Amino acid sequence: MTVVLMLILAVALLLALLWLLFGNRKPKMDPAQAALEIKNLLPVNCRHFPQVQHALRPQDEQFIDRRAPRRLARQWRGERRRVVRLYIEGLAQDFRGLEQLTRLIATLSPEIKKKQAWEWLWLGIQFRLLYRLTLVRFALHSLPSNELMRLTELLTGLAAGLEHSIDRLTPKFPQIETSPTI
Amino acid sequence: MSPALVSDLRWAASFILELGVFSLAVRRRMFRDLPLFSIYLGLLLATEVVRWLAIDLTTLASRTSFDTYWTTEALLVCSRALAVYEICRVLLGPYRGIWRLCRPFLLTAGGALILDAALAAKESAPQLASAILVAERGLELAALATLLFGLAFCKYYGIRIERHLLWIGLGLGFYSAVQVANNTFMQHGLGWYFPLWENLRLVSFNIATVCWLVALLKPLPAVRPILPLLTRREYDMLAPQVTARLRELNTRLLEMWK
Repeated sequence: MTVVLMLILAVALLLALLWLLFGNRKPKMDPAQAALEIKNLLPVNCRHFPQVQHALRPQDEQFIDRRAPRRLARQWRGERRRVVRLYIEGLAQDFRGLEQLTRLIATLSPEIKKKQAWEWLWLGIQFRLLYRLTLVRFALHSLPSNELMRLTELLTGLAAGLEHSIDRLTPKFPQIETSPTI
Repeated sequence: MSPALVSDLRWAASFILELGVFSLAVRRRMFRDLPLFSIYLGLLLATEVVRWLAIDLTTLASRTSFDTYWTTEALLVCSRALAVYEICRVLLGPYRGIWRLCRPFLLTAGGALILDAALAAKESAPQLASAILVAERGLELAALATLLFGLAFCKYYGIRIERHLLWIGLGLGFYSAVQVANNTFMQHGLGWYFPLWENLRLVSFNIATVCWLVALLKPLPAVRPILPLLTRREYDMLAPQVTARLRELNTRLLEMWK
């Protein structure tokens, strides 16, 4: 039994080593490009909420139900759901950008508070779980548009609050060499 | 071809490979960046010579050869563990905050596994061979765990691993992982497993040496400049701001479920 366990452990550790060393290696980022990319860490997808909100208006649905043939209405609903789904994915992308910003701050910090680092890690895990569950829920039912709006407001507010912070980080960024891992 | 001649040829090939790696390391001036790993490469050569002398002056089955082999092996395992720590320091050291955060993890993980190895070896003490195997397995596991912890931090924070460190890390980690499994089999199958254990040990070590050779084939990159860090005030301002937003976003997602 010990032999089998140790063998499994050794293989698992070796696979982990290979993944950590060679898995998802992205090409080295040019420092000038990296300085521009840091700006991309700010939430951007949430800016498209007005269009998404427009697409989710109940009036449209009522109008389509009244006027359009059933097949067309179904197709329209399908398209609308696809747009909302893409939008939720976009919000997740915004979150990941912010997460990367936390890592960048950590990289540039002379001292990281342990509590802070754990919280960032935990929030990331929590978000991923919630995001997956939200996608599943969305696949099963429709997502209320007012919830999406609140989520978007949150990210927009975050973008506004962080732009000033990003300006502080940007001059220091070209000299560090990190690769995005998300 | 007699088995003794085959064994001698394999030993000679292995020695030449190690000599090649060491020469390249000296030529690339690796001792400036990685002094402990350079010392380890030097120790490998010295160890081979000492072992060969011990066997040549006595016999392969003599107590002197046995003691020489395991004493030098202990020295090599410790040296390898230090080289692993050095690689983690070189990777994460320029990022002062991350290094301060990571170092206790590395030391705790390594220390705990070494302690575990010592206790396990003490239990197996009546059988000397078994105790040595258990202790060595524990030390290899400690080195491997330390390396994995360091690399996990690099992955999480998106820190780029230089090509030469990547191959050196692979060589060190691969050899340790194989030894963990190999020593376990040997401990439970003393006797019949010995020839296979010996072969696996040699082949895995040769593979590791080839990895180090690959690491040194190209010139080493220039030393990285010291990073301009955020001030304590900037960090105290930025960190809670981002945390609060991330936390809020998760709370909002949770609300969707109520």
